[in-house]
Amino acid sequence: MTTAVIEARGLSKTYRSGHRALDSIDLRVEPGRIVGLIGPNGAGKTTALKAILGLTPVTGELQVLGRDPRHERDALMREVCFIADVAVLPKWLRVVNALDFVQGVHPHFDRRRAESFLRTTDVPLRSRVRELSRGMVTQLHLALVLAIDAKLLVLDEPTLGLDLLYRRTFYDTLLNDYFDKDRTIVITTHQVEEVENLLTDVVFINRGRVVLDAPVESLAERYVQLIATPERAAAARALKPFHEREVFGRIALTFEGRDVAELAAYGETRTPSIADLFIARMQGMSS
Amino acid sequence: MMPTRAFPTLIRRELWEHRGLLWAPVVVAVLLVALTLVFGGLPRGSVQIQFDGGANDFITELSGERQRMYFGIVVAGLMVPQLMVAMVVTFFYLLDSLYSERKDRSILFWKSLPVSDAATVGSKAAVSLVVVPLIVYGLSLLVSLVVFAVLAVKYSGTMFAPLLEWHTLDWLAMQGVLLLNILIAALWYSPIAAALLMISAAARRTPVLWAVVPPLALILVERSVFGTEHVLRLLGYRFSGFFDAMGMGFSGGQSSTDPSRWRIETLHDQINVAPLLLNIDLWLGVVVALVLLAIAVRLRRWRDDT
Repeated sequence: MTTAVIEARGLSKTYRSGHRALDSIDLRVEPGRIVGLIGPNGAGKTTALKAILGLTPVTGELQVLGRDPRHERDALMREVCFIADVAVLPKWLRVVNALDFVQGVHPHFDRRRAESFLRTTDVPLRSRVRELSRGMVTQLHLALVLAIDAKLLVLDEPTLGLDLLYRRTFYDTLLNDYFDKDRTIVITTHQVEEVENLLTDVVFINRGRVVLDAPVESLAERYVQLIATPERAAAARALKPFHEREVFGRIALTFEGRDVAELAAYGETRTPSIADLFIARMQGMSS
Repeated sequence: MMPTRAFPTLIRRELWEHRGLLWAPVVVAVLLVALTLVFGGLPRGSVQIQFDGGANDFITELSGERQRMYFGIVVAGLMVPQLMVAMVVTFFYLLDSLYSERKDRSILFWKSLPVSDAATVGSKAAVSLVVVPLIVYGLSLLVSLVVFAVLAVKYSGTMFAPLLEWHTLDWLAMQGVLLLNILIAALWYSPIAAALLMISAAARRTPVLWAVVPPLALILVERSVFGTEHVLRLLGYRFSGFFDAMGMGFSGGQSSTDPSRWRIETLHDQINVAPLLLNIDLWLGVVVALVLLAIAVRLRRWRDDT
């Protein structure tokens, strides 16, 4: 068994209000994976990330890169990068001073790399963050992160509030210039379609619990979606789909652990997209 | 291992964010020099006419030992306006420093870097207790040189020239005393700085109110319930104890006719607060400061943007 990047067992967190943000979560992330932590707002995604980053106290077992983030956040951050949504770079900071600062405190920061990335953008070095557009702030943050030789990158809704063009380049840059087999990325988002194609693993979280944790390549074996006419769908219900919905007068039934050949008799079959599966899982839970 | 320049980087960061810490004393220094340039001179020519023999006596009286002492008072006094402005700016700086990073959520960025909460809080304490006082010290050193140079040029050849005699050794000695005082003041006032940092880390909103209202309420409650003033006295002692140690006001036992009073050596001895180092209250204050800073570190550790 390889050493996991993240290893959590029985991770729980109850806020003072009584709200149970994490309800005994187990999570294991191997190196070289791109994991999507997906869930509706308030599901516990951000709390889980904050626990992994040592930003919030939690109970349970937790190891990130062999360290306990609750006690060694500063040491851990030499190996971990974190981008929360774009608002968190301080407004008064100058671009050049952001480079100065990270260079001053981070042993694995390559300033030339950050500068050469910034040259491909329109971000002026002398500007303050408050003078930059949201897209440019993200580019600056990306420039800092790309220049840090880290093992784990954690992204919390990183493209929130960005327009389509910036969102696309953000993920393209991550995949092309950053990701390799020694690095691991954990992304939370509620916009599943956006990250669907780059994930290697999906973890669905709802109400503080993990409802699905699977490699993307296993989804095709586990889940089948059947698109059938209403009459045939009625017959197919005997095979116990866990979710169904109507699409343009036809019924989409989602099955777990059924043979494709068996279902093909009722209509058209396909592998559900992660977005479909997410919706199926979330609605299946609440019904 | 942290890069060796991590702590200096943290200090620079503070001055990037709170430029007023640097600029406020600089503006006061420039004002002092400007005031000297504009008002520091008397119209040439009229001087000899306006003053009669009485003024000559006055000038003679202020020569020698007394002139040296006044020289010392002016050199030290030129630091006071900058120090007062710096104290006001530093008060608001400390209250803001661990609060605004939560308010604008930038704490998530700072915490994504390998910097411990202790180093962060420590850098803010160091800025308030060491960096800002040293900026003020350095500026006032320059200001005293410039002001005396300006006055010397303005009054050269007049009857007032003897009043402005420059004493290099006295000046150096005074700089030594002031530097020592500034470092001791850092120790004496450390519990106040630490308390402000703790409030800044703890407050969910308006840290200024949390800094002002609870002590006031405590004083009023104590007075109305017990009829005593222990809290008031304790706070008053912490604020003014340093100045008491400086022998401010020159209202000691010596009478004003005592000639030994009018010597710069006496002045140096009087404002030198080195004896404060033997005062247990100074070190108790340092212990309290360390406890409060530890609480601030702990608060910051589990405080995020919420």
